Amino acid sequence: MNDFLYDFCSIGISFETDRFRLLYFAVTTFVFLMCTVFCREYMNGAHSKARFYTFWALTYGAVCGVLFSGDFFTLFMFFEIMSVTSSFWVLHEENEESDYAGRLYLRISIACGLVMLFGIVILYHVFGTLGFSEIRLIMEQGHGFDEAPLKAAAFMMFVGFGAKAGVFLLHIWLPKAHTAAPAPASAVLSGILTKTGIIGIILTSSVLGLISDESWGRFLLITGVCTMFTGAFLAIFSINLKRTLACSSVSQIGFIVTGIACMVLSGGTFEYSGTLLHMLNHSGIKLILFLIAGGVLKKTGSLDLNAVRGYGKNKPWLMIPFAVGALSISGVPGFSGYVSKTLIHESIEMLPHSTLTEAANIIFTVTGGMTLCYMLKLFVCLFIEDGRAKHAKPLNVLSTTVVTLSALPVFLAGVLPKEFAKIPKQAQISEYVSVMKSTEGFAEVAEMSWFSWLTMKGGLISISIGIVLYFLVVRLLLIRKKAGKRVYINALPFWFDLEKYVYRPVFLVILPFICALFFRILDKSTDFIAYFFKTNVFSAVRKKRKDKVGKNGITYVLGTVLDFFTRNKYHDEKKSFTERLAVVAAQTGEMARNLERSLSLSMLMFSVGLLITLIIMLIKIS
Amino acid sequence: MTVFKQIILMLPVCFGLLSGALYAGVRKKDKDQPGFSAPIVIGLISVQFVLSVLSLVLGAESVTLFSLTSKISLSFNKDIVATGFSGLVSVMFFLTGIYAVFYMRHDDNKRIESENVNTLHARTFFGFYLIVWAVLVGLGYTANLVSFYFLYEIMSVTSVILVMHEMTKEAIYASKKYLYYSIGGASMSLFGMVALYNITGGSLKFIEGGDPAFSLLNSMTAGKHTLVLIAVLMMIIGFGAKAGMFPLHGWLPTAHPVAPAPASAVLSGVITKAGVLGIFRVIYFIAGTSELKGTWVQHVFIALTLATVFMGSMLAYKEKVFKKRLAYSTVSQVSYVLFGIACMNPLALMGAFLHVMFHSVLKTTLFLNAGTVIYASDKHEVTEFTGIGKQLPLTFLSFSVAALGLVGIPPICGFVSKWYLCLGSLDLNSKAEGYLGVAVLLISALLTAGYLLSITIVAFFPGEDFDNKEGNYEKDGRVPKGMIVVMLVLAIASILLGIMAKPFYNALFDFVYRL
Repeated sequence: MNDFLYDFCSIGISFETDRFRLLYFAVTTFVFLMCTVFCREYMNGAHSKARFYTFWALTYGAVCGVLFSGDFFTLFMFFEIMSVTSSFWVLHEENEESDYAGRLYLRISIACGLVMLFGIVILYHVFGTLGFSEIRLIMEQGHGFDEAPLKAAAFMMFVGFGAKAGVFLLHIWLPKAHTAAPAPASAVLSGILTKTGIIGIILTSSVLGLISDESWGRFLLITGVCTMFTGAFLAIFSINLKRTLACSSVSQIGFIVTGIACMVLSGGTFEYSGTLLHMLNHSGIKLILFLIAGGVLKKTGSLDLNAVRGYGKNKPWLMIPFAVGALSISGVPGFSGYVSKTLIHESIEMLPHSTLTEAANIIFTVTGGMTLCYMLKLFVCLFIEDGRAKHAKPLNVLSTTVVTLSALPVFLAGVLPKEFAKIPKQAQISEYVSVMKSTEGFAEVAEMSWFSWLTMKGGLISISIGIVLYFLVVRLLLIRKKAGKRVYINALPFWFDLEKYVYRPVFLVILPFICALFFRILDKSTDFIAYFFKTNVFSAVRKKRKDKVGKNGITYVLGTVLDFFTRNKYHDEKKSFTERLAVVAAQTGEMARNLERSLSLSMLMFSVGLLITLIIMLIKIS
Repeated sequence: MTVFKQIILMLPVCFGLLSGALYAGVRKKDKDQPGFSAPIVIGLISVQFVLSVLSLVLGAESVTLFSLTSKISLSFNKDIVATGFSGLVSVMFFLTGIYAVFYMRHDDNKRIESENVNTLHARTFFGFYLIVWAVLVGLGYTANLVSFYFLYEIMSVTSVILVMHEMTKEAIYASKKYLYYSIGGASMSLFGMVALYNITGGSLKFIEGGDPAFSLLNSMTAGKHTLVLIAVLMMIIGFGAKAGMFPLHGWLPTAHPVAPAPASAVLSGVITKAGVLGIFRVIYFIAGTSELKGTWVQHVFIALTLATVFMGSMLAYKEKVFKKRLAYSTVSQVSYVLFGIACMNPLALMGAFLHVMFHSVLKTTLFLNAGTVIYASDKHEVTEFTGIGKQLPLTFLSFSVAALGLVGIPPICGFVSKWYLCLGSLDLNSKAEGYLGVAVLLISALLTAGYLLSITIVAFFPGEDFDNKEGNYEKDGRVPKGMIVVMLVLAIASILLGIMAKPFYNALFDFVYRL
């Protein structure tokens, strides 16, 4: 077995495990389990269920492979398999939207996967191995590696992992794909698959010795901050339930990447705690919210906020889990999101002061408020406002139980922040452990008094910003009166779509056109030269063919002589040698001409070669 | 005993040539007769396959049939490259042959039923199929450049029959074009060959690491040095014609689509590799990499291959006719191999060897898929493929596997070879060239995904308003089971080869590092 793994794909795969991986394996399994049970109602009556479940199982396997991989090749392989199999979820519905989103997802996955491969190739070229611990070992022995290729490789791998996580500029597929996929799939895409990208980024940063690398940390910080703001901004304006949640995912990934940036800049465990807890939170919260969104879609047939308005009225078992998720993700004290967000916020404040960290701090607080703002928008729409959807049926008992069960861990984590905050100490990433600077952070986290005024200050500022934003922006700007009804409107102009109006024209129209034009010319150049010579220089002089049989002098004379000798008395036209020979001559001539035509050019080429050869030989002799 | 072994070595060549010629030549003229009997063809193909395997396992190491001069002879030698090439040829021809027995029945029925269809007789097809097979096995074995050239020309001429099988206007045009390009390319190689023979006084024998006569190269006068390099480049470009390398690639996208699917499969999967073999022999066994490394010839060669890689994928991406798209893809993929050879370092060479094999498996699968689509529904353009995956699920399953392999998704085999090619590229002396090489290979892989996976999506996800009126061709027997089995075998093989690539790596390791 060991030989088999060592020889796998001739590069060899390896697996490793630590507490962190086991923890995330447990989370993955929990999320998959919940979603699978939820599928029973959700996928009831759907088409191609066998296909969906096949790729469902395959993706679960691939995610586990990603989690337990012990080297970059294994990671890459399972990552690619995961990308391909999960793209079939997005394509599943087989309507226009899913086709668009699925293709986009596959394109981005494969393109960024190949960029990541480039990075891995460079790593292998530099180290001669891809194992995490082997690379760490070589790095520690320190043979003075060239910085540039390593940085380039790290950046390329960031592109690959970041695309899956949905970081800024590569986030474009995420809102579309998560919206188009069936709800249980969206929950996994959002809760688990984005995290594999995050884990990849953490592993890359730790293994390649980029912890406490100034420029790398700053790069991550900028990316993270941009991601969180963009996601939240889009989420506020969205009027589609799942799209709002998907944009929210982008935003939360931004928080996590910011956490990683703090980890990189300081190398401590305080920052690690914040990042890990927020990953756990986000996985759990998005599970609840997407499942609820799935239920809403299943029962009302729509995701438009105006159509689903009031669905949650009189459905307490839907409202409680949703409230837990919404409050938690908004960072309201008493709920789990508050713990992780506070830790990340503290991490930013502990960074050495500069304009960048100041800006990051402010944007962090504002974005926290925006989170509350869009979650409030969803909550009010679903559970407080009145609408036609009020009379839609509730989910069945099984699904309701699943949603409630999903909310349970998130709820408990919020109630018991002390215990929750201890998890990171128990679940450390072994790669990060080997490079981090100190372990004092864990003690600091344990000593935090969660409900003191000082700790809550940041969270409360965010919450007040959120409430103000909700009333100023959402109530005033994003709700208009139409035909006597108040409706949510999409206030963003139609061209505010980076993917559709920038990426798509550039990468699918302009670049292919230019390249294809250039290469088309190159492609036809040889043919053109050949054609030119054939029609101009070497064009055959076409003679007028003699159509009439028997005009040929030689056959006539020969035939007459033969006729004479054989005493052909009957003068039968068909038996006369004159005629027969003439026919044969005509046929031969035809064949010769055909042969001549097809062979002439090839012979000509051949002779040119021969001629050059002879000249060379002459030169040589002389 | 040695004579006996020598006979065993040459047996597949002789048997293929003879049986092929007899099968194609001796037949009744009656048009209404069924063209061929499946058991006989399968029998011939199996015998040829068994003989090839026997010759690979038991055959003598070398044999000289006759000598032209004291230096030049028609001789054969079985080294690892020869074994690999001939083995690959035999396996691919065997599998494709089985497929062809089912595929050509359809074609033959058309010929009998319709007055207007003017295709060649199916027996001609199978006869020449065997002949080309035999010649290719022999081509692998050749021990010097003259023998190689001799069999190479025979191979070019005989394979034309496979291209012109349909006898339509396009088929005849394509086969003429194929002939011109092949002979034109070969004449360039001939020039190079004679020039080398005269200038260096070498024997043109294939010697590992290059002809010793070549090592005097650097002590030559500058003029002669340049001349020799020109000669080598001419040979590269000349043999590159068969491998579809720019500038002599023009025949490939014209000829491959018009041939019947099994013929296109072997043309693309195997016969293009004959050109690769030629270039490989010239660089590693005649000229020697130590003399060529770092010269302008290497740079030109690398530039040509990279341009071809990009060009092939780009034009495949823009192409609408399925088989033509695959043909352009071949242009691109075979140049991956040539790029590996051009890098002239062990890792890249390893990648090149593996890619010869893997591309052969993958592209054969893809062309057989294309054949099945034509067989079942007579669809040629990818725009007509909407929902076809529901009619031919297993066909498009194997298509998807092969497509992912060609893109380079591990663990399917295309990835392994690309991995070594990329590593080899980074090993190049010129850093810029190395990174550019990897970038071009990966962009091309992306385009490959663009032009192959889009078909998968269209085939399996046709959209809401698609109504499958045709039913499932595979279930109700409109597609023979034999064809499906061959495609699935190839698809599974492509996964297994990727996972179990290590034995090939080990087998080649010593050889590659010795060169």
